Amino acid sequence: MTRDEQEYDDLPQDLIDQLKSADQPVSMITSRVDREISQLAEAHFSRRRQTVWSRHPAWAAVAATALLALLLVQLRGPQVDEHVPIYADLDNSGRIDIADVLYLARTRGAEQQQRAEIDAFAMRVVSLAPTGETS
Amino acid sequence: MRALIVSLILMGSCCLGQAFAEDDSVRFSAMDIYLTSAEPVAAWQFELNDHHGLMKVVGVEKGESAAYARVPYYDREAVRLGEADRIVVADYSLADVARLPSDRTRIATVHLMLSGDDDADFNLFLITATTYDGLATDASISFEVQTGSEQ
Amino acid sequence: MTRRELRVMFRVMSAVFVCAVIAVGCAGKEQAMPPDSGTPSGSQSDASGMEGIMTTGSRIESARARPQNRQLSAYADLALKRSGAGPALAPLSADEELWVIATPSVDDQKSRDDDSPGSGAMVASFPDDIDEKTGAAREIPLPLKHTAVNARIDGYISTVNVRQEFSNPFDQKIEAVYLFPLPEKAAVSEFLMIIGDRKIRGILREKEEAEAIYREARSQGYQASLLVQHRPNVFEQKVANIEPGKSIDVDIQYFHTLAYNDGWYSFVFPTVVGPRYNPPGHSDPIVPVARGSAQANEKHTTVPYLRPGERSGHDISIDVEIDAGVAIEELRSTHEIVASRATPESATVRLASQSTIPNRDFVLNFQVAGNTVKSNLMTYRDPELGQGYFTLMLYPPSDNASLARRPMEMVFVLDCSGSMSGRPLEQAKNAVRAALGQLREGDTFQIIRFSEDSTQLGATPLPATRQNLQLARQYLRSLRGTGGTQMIEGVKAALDFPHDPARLRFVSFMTDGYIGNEIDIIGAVHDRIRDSRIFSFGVGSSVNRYLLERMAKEGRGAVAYLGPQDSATNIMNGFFKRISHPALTDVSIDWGNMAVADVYPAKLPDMFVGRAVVITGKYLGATGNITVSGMAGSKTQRLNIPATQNDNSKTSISKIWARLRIADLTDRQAWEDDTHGELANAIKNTALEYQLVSDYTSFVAVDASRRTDGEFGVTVPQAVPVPDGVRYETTVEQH
Repeated sequence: MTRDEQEYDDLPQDLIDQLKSADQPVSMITSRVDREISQLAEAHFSRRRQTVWSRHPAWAAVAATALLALLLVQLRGPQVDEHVPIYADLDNSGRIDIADVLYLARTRGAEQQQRAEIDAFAMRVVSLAPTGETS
Repeated sequence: MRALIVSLILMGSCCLGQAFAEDDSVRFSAMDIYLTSAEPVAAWQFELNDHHGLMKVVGVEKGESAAYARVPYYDREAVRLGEADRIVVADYSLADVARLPSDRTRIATVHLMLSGDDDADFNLFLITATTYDGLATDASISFEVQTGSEQ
Repeated sequence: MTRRELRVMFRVMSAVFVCAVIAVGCAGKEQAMPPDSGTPSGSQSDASGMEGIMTTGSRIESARARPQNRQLSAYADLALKRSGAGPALAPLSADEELWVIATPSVDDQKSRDDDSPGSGAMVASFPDDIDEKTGAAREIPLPLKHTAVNARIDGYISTVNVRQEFSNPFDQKIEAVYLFPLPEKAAVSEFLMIIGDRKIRGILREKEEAEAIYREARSQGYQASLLVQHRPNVFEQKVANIEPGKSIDVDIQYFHTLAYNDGWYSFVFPTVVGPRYNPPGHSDPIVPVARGSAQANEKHTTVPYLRPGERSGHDISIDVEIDAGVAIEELRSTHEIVASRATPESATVRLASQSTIPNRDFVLNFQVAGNTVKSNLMTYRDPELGQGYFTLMLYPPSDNASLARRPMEMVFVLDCSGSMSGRPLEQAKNAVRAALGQLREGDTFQIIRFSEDSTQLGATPLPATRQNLQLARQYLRSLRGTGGTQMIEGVKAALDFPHDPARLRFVSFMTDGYIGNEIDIIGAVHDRIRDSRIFSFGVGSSVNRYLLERMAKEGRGAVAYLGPQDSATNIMNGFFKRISHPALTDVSIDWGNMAVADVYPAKLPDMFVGRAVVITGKYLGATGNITVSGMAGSKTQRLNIPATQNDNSKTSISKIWARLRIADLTDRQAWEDDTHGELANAIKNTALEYQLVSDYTSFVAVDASRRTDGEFGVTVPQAVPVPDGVRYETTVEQH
C-alpha cells in the first residue's frame, strides 16, 4: 500500500477518485500579484474602519461633549434656577405636593427672601384650583 | 278684646321664638387631625371634605409638634369663598430628624362652624407623608371632633 | 265657642306668652349688655318705670312679677337686692303685682367711675398702684398689656408683625375691645390668635359674615377674635371670652412702602388714635369718650380715653431690622433708640425702653448716601398665573433745584379747633411765620382759620408787602385753639375763590387731622382742586396721616409732618424751598416692553426735588427699560430706568398693589355715585382675592375646641392715652 493509499484507505473509492482528480499542481503567484492583492485588501478594510465621526472629528467632539453633559445632568438631578418660577415635581414623585416644597426648602435654605418664594409654592400646593395636581 | 290683644302678642312671641330657634342650628366644632407614622415625618398633606357641604372653616391651628412652628398652609381663597366643602392642609419642617414627630401626633386642628340640622359627613384622607430623607412613608390619618362642651 | 272654652284658651295662650317672654328675656340678656361702665344710661326707664325685661349691669332695673310665677319672683328679689331697696317685701297675694324700680343715686354714679369693668354683677380686683408720695399715675386695670412690634425693611418695603397681648385682670370673663391705628397704606394680610402655645390662624371673610361668626361664637362661650377696619388707618380688635387671669394674644402682619424725602427713608408706626371731631349728622363717627363713660355703645365706634393722671399699664416695644441695600449714613427717631450695625447697609434698631407708653407715633428715619439712590423698579411675578406686579420708586433729578421760581399764591389754612390748642397750634403758627419769610415780591398770600366756622385775614389774597406781612403776624398771634373741627369750611374757603392764572396756587393745610368725616373732606378737595396744589402739614405727635396723605394726593402735592419737638422753621424752610421749585411737571412714563395696567396713582403727581414718588401697578410681558418724561421749567427732561431682574421673593408687592387699588376705589366713593355698589363690590372682591382687611372684609378666628364657663362676660373697651401734646379738656371732655 502506498502512503497515499494508506491515507485514503478509509474513504469510499469514488471519493478517493475525486480527491485524486482535484489534486492538481498549484499555479505560481508572483510577488507583484501578491502585492496588488494585498493593497486591494488593505484599501478595502481601511475604508470600512473610517466612520462618519472619524471623517468629521470636530462634530464627533461636539457630540461626545453633549452626551457627556447630558449624562452629568441626569446624574445630578433637577437643579433650581433662582430666577425661574418654581412649581414643579422636584422630587420626581409623579405629583406636585408638599414633599416638593420640602425639597425646595432644603435646597434654598431659610433666608427670608427664599422663604417668601417657598411659602408661595406651598400655597400653590394646597390650592383647590382645578389643576388636579393636589389630589 | 282682651283675647285679640293676647293673640297678637302670642303671634309676636311665636316669631321671636322662631328667631331664637334659628340660632340653635349654628354650632362649632374643632377637628383634631392625627397622623400615625412609625418613622419621623418631615412633611405631610391631607384633604378634608364634608359631603353635606355644611362646614365653614373659622380657624386653622398648628399641631402639637414643636418641629412644626407655624400654622399649616391651606387654600385661603377657597375657604373664604365658602366653597370649602373641602380643604387641603399641608406643612413641612426643616428640623433635625430627632425632633420630627412619629407615632401618633396631632398635626393640625381645623375649627369649624356648622349650620343646619343635618350632621356633617366628614371625609379625611392623607395625600402624602414624607420622611426626613424625602421618601414617602406609610402613615395613617384620623380625626377626633371636639364640640367644646367638655371643659 | 263657649265661655269656658274661651277661658281655657286664654289661659293656655297666656302661659305660652309668658314662657316666650322668659325665653326672649334670657336671650336678650346678651344684647342688652350695658356699655362698659355702670354709669346708668338713664334711658331704660321713664317716670312710670315699667319694663318687662331685666338688664344686668344697669342700675335702673325693673321687673314685673306675678307671684304665681316663681322665676319672675326670683328676678324681683334679685332686683331688690341689687338696688339695695332693703329687705324683700312680704309675700304677695294672687291679685297683687310687684313692681321694682331702682333709680341711680349720685353715689352709684361715683362708684361706677371706679375701675370695675362695668357690670353690676362683677367685682373687680385690681392692684393698688397709687404712690401717695410721688403722686404717680394711677394704673387702671385694662385688658391690653403689651404691644410688640417687629418690623423688617428691605429697601423701601417693610413687613411688620404686631402682637397684642390681652389678659383679663378681673375675676369674671370679659370681652376686650381695642381701637388702634396702623399706617394708612398698610396691607393687613395675616391674623393669628394665640392661646398659650396654640396658634390659630384666622379666616378673612366678608365683614358682616365675620361679625356674625364672631357674635355666634362669643354667645356660645367660645374664645374668638375679630379684626375690623373702620378707617384705612383705624382698626378694631375684639377678643371674646377671656377667662379670669388668662391671656390671649393676637398677631397681625402687614406690608407697606416707606416714604422718602431729601435722602431720608421714614418708617412710621402710629400708636394711638387721636380724639376725632365728628360733624353733626355724620353717619359713621368715631367718637372720643371718657373712660367709663356711658356714651360707649354699639351704635357707633367709640374710643375711650384715660383721664389726665391715669395710665393703663399698656406699653409697647418696637424692634426694626433694616436692609437698605445701600449704605445707611444716619439713624434718627422720635424716641430713644438703641441701634447696632452689622454691615454698612443694615441696621437693627429697638426702642431703648421696651415698656414705652404708646401715646405718640414712632418714627424712624434713616439716611442713605445721596448719590447711591437712583430710581428703581422692583417686580414680582405670580408663578402660577404669570401676572406681574411692580413698584417703581422715582427720584427726580437733584440738579433741578436751580430752576427758576414762578410767582406764588400761598394760602395757609390753620386748624384752630380744640385739639390744636397749645403746642400744636404754636407749631403751626411758627411754620406759617417761617413760610411768610420765604415769600418774595410778586407773591400773594392768604391766611384762613377754621374750627366751628372759618374766617380769613383778607377778603382776597394780599400782596406779600412788608406791611401786609406784619399784619399777617399780628393775625397769627390772635389765633386760639377752641371748638370743633369743621374742616369742610376751611376747604371751601381755601379753594372756592378764583385762582390767579399768573401764579402757582399752593394751599397749605396745617392740621392734626382729628376728624371723623375724612371721606367728605377728600371728596370736597377732589371737587374743588382745579389748578391748585395742596400741601398738607401734619402738626402733632399722632396725626391722622390717612387724611393728610389723601388730601395731598388729590391735590397733586405733598405732605410734611411737624412733631412737637421739631423745628417748625427748619421744616417749613426746607419744605417751602422744594415746593416752590417743582423738579418735574406733566410727568409721563413710557413703559417699554411692559404691558402695564391698573397703575396707582392714576394721576402722576408733579415731582419735587428730594421727594420720591412710588408708583405701583400690574404688568404682563417681560420687563425692560423705562423712560420717564416731564417738563423741567420750559425744557423736556427724560429719565431712563434700566430693566430689572424679577424677584420671586417679593410677594408683598402684589399685596401692596392691591392695597393701593383699594385706596383708590375708596377715594372714588367720596365723589362718585356708588348707589349700585359697584365700587364697594370692587373693593370687596379685591380685598378677598388678595386676603386683605378692608371696609368690607374682616378677619375672624374661633377656638372651637372648648367652651368657657358661664355667660360671655362684659365688654371692656381698652382706654388709651390722649396723644402727647393734645389736651384732654379741649377734646374728649368737650364731646
